Amino acid sequence: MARTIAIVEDEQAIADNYKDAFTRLGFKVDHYLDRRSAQTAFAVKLPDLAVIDVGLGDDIEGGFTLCRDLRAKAPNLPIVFLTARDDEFDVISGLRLGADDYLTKDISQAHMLARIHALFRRVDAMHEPANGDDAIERGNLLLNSSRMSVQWQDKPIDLTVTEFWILYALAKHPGHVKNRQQLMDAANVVLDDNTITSHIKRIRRKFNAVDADFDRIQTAYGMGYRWLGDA
Amino acid sequence: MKLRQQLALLALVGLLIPGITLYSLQIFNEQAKASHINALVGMAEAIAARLASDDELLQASGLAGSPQIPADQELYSHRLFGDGSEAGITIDGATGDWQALALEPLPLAGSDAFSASYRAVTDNLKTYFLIEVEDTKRHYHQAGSERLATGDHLLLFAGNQQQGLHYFVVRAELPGAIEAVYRNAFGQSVRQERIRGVWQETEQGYRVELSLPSNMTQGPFALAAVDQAPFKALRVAGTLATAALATAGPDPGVIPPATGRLVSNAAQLHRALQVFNRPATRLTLLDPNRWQRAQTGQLTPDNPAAKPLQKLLHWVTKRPQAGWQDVHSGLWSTPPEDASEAPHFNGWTHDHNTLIARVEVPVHRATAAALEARYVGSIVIEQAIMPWQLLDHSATRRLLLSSLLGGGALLLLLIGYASWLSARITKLSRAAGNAAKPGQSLNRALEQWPRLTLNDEIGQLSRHYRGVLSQLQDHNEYLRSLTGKLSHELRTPLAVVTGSLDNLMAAEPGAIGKYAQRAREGSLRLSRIVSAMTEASRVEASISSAELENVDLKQLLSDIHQAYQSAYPQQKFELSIQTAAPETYCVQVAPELLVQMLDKLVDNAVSFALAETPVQLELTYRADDSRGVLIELAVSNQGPPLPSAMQGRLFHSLTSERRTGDSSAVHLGLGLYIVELIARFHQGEAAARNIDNGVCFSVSMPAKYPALSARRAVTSVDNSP
Repeated sequence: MARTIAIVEDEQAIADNYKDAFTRLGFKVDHYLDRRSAQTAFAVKLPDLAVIDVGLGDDIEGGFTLCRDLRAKAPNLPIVFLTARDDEFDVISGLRLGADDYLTKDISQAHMLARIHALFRRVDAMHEPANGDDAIERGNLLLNSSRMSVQWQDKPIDLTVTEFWILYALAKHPGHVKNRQQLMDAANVVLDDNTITSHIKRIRRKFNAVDADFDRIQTAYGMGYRWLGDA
Repeated sequence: MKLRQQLALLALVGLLIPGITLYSLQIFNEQAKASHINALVGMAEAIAARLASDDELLQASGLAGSPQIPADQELYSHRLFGDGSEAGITIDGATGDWQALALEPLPLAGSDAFSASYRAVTDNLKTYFLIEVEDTKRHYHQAGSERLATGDHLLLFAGNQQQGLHYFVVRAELPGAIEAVYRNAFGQSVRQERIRGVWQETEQGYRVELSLPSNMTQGPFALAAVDQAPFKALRVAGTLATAALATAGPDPGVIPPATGRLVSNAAQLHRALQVFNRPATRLTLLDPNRWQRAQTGQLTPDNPAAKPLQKLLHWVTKRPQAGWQDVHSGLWSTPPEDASEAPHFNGWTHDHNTLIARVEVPVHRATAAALEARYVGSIVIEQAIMPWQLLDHSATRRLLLSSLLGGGALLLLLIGYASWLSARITKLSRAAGNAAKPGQSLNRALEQWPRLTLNDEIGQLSRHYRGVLSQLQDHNEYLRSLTGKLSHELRTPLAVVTGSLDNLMAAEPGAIGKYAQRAREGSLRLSRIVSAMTEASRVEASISSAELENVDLKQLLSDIHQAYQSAYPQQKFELSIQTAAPETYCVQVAPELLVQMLDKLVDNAVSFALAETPVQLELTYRADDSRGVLIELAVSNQGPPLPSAMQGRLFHSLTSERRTGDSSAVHLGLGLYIVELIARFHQGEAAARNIDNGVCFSVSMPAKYPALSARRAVTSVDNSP
């Protein structure tokens, strides 16, 4: 059965473009123009993945509200936020709404689709037994690239797809400095340097929430970042 | 000069108080000096009255009862009595013993440029004379001559009742011991051994030191120096009548007795004055010829050592100009007619650091016999005081102390206030300087901005500055967010374009047209945004070059109403104009700008207006107390209300929060920003408010009437060259 992707987007043209692209890849796509219609539909049936615009018409933060509702209903449903503004990343992060990824609207379709696939892979991997080959263990860190799951000191860390790939790129070769471009390539995003920096900060914060002494991700000033291996 | 220094300088005004006090102390001092003189006059008058009443004393001392003798026939001798009554003079021609007595020579009045002087002192036994004669051509007596004197000699008229009165010639044959000779009743030359003396030559002439028994000087007495040379006229200096000498020739045996006398101070008068002795006070009694007849007391001030306060008082007081001069000759000078000309007769003089007050009052002897009181002499009181003494009492001390304290307190207060004031201003200025530093963030400057609690002008200045800074910060904040908003506005059409292009790549051939169309619409939207952005700056440029014209707004609105009607055929417009005098709406405006502004408002109203509802155009006026007539242009429509959060910043550019049904319309909010720019150009204000079922945008501006401007224009023509 084809997976269902729900697009909640008030710009008809943008929604149409995504709808066409997703449909071409064999997904079933439902488009909702505002929060109300989306909520009504979600009450009946949940999609397999939701792409939500933050600003929905007059409802400036309608996307956030919708995400919270959806997350409450389905804890494992992948949610991708679309925003027109960079600064909303921080709002989303601050609210800890539990989105799996957030992207700016001008991201290319290829990048967008790569993320959608990654998210579905993660969902699928959770239902399968863990594959030892996909796992990386770096001291207290346990990474599973097929499940996109992260554990630190045996406690799960909830990372977005972008964050996961950045961490993965770093932890794969401990001690190697990864520059920003390499991290962007790994995460399949086109971001400016500052955004990479804020992603790194968010990753550190999420680890710090579990382990206040976490200091494995080191800044190599002028070059990039590296994962510190155990001595 | 820094503010602190300026204020500190100003604070020196506090010194005025002690300054004024010192000045008033000077005035007090003058007053006190005047009253001190009055007190001394009172004392002198009391002494004079006491003396005048003692007739016996006056008689005994020769002040009264004896006939008046002219001053030029009197000689003066200082009488020594009491302790130190020995004159201690040796008749040896040396003058050292005379100098110890500190007497000043008195002149012997002479004729034909012949002058001589004398000093005389009397003790219990003898009277001593030191006579100095100016006569460089000295002639000595020739021994063996029948004449009493053939050369220069002295002539004495002296004696007493027992031995008889004689003219004695004092002569010398050589420098050395003198001979005193007289002719007896038989014409014989008799030598008087009791008159002894030494004759000595001096540079100017000669000097004779004489002594004779005191009892020879009590009665009639006269002295003269005679210059006698062969074949030359006699020259005489002294108290003997020259005419008598000239007729009598050199042998004075037959000359009538002289009427002069030797005057000196009298013990009984001295005793009478001593009763009135006071510390630092000298009492002197003068006879009518101004010979000093008695003197008691010392002119030594009481307590010459000065304490600090007294030093200050000393510094305050002015020193009298006239210097004090003591009298050592026995002859006191005569007071001038106008006493004010010579203050040292009645008034103040100074002797180094000591002030000397002097008063003189006459003594009049009141007798039953005389019709008028007879003048018998004068009492002179001199008193020495230290300059601060008149001021040195508790009142002035209190005054000085309190004014110094008050002045000091005022000074401290003023300096304190000045420091406080300048500290506040410095704080403010430092904060402003910090805020103006390059690289200083406004946030930090605002945080560090001093909070002045006192609500005075400086506090207000601080608050106003803070207001300006926070406005600036708001504006900065706005500019910062502008890029965010702009990227948001641009990203949506950009996403449409890229998404369409991505789809285009993968699309079936039949669908290509759909994606191309979608991409074109997206890029059209982009270009609309860009032109909307540039419109704002175009309007800003045209505003700066806009000129005011006389326009009838009523006409303008009627015209534009019709224009809108044809431009938006789907929309209904209603025009209402408040009735007013015809010239009310004839004002000076920039019509193109005004039309552009109305375009924006109407465009906005039309896009938000509910279907089938009219857009209202309104022209009204009202009188405002401070700004004259205010004209208001309003455009209102029925439709979605303004979000309450947006009311304040609705006219900021790029702020648009309302949604229309048509998603292709651009709502950057630049239109309303332009409205505000044009309203501000007309010194007006733009406002937006929710009305029943809709929104009303209005622009109110003060009416500028042509007449006023015309007058201004004429003035400017006059001024132009």
